[in-house]
Amino acid sequence: MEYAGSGTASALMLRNAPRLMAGYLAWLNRRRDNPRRHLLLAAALVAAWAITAALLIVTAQPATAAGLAWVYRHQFLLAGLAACTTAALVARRHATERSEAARSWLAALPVRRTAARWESLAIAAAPALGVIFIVAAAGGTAWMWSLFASDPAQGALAPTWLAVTAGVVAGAMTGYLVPAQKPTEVAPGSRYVPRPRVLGARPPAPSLSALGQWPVRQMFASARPKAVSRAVLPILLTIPLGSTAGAAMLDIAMCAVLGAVLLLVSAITRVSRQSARWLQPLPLPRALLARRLLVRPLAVIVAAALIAAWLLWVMGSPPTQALKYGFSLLVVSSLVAVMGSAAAISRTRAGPR
Amino acid sequence: MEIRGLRAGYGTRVIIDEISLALEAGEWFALMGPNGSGKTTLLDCVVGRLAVARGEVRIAGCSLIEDPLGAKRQLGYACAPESLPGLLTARQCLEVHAGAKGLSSVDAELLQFADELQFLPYLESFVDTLSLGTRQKLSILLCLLGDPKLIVLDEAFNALDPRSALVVKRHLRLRLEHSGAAVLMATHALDIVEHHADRAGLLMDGRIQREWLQQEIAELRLKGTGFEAALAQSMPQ
Repeated sequence: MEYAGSGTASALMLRNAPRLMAGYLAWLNRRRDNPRRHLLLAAALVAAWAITAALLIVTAQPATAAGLAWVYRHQFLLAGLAACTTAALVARRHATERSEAARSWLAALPVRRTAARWESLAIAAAPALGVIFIVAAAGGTAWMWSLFASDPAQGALAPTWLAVTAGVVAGAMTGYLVPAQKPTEVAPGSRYVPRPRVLGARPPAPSLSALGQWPVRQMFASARPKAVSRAVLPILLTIPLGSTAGAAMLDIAMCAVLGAVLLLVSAITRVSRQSARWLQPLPLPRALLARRLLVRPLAVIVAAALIAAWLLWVMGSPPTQALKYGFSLLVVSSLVAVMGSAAAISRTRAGPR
Repeated sequence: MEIRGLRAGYGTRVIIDEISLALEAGEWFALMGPNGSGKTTLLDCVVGRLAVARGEVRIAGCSLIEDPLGAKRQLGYACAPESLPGLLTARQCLEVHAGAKGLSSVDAELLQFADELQFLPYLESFVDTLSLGTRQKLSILLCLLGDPKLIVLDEAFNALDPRSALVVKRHLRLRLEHSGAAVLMATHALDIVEHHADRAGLLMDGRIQREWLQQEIAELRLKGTGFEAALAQSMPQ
């Protein structure tokens, strides 16, 4: 069978690896739909890298020299860190890849065992390639700087780069070899949502109030326990050593409030789109839908802003400053929520599927 | 319901063109056609989910373009089960639909129908914990809220067990006889066309190519070849 891209060398190489082939063809299709987007993205990335490199070279010479000297001295530490990070990324991706492969639409295809193993390695180790690319870009920048500044320690750059790259490769292999966990079923989103109270056996009464509960429930559904526990770890790492338990609790509480607001704002936009689509065949004016969707979440945002201001005050900020920050949080998040909801509702109405 | 000279599509691609169709009160119209022939597109236009490029849709005398709220008050649409909101309970879905239709209460007849469908035990469950068939029942219940004059169903019997499907078919027939509603239904199920529909249409190449009345369908069924063969003959290779 002939199809777009089937004759290319890449397609021929991937002929025995159906999942990679499917991914490659999907990438080709996306590029065909919007060919300039990839070029623009690549150009933007190169430009951002060039500007950063130029700024480092021209404006921050002493700081850059000190930074590079630190890198040379701690190359094995950096290699270890790169290895750990890559191992975690690859192990996680490999676990996801394994569970998805079993349910994939390509799962029943006869693929040779060696080909399947290579395919699995290629999919799982993709983040390692990204890390190698970033390390290479950083190494290239440092090399340009060392040439420009005639850095005496220029010779240490290549071993450092090699050590970090070797760390990434070792981490990728280790991550790939981590044994699989027990497979778990993906839980429905409502598992993490507080259950509504059931007040006896009463018939349903017409009401739009459930629309306001929906974004709040979506917020709870997004904040699954695993995601929350992962989010808490970096917060704990940012708390300096020697902090008191009280200060740490305040930091965690503040992050929880800000995280909840962030999740709620994104939930409002998402739910607005879904509800507008669901209720499209009903005689419900847009303004009424938006109002019903927004009133309760905005009340939650007001409460969150008040709690944030109170936390800031407890942390030692002057009351006026704490109120100012709380008010800013309220205004910014409310504006984003209202605009996101309005845009989602107006875009969904009477449009294509 | 009346559709006149309807044209619709996605972007520059025209899917249905010059569709004209009128449904009388109490009539059950089955819309058939090959996959991708535009059945769902036509239903999307009728319920206002897709903007039409040309033509007009009128429901109980109200134009869907000029008076969309008036037209939608007369409309019941069973959406795809996967479009139902997973984080609301079945009760809340019913309440929101009833609220949006401006009803003062959920009618007892519908609750009795829900009981017949053995749906009431799931009233307090979140939609994303319901099975596909139970979601399909909820979708049909939402469609029938508020005694709509036009009931639009898009392959709504697909996930239902035979007993529930029979309950729904009997209930629809009762509604057609007593409340003067009309049913517009896209389906591939020939048993519905042969036993329940008053009229059937074949949508192909963006147009309704052929129509059969109930009497013709019955005659074809009695002949040796049957309606299935007649339908296959109407679809060129």
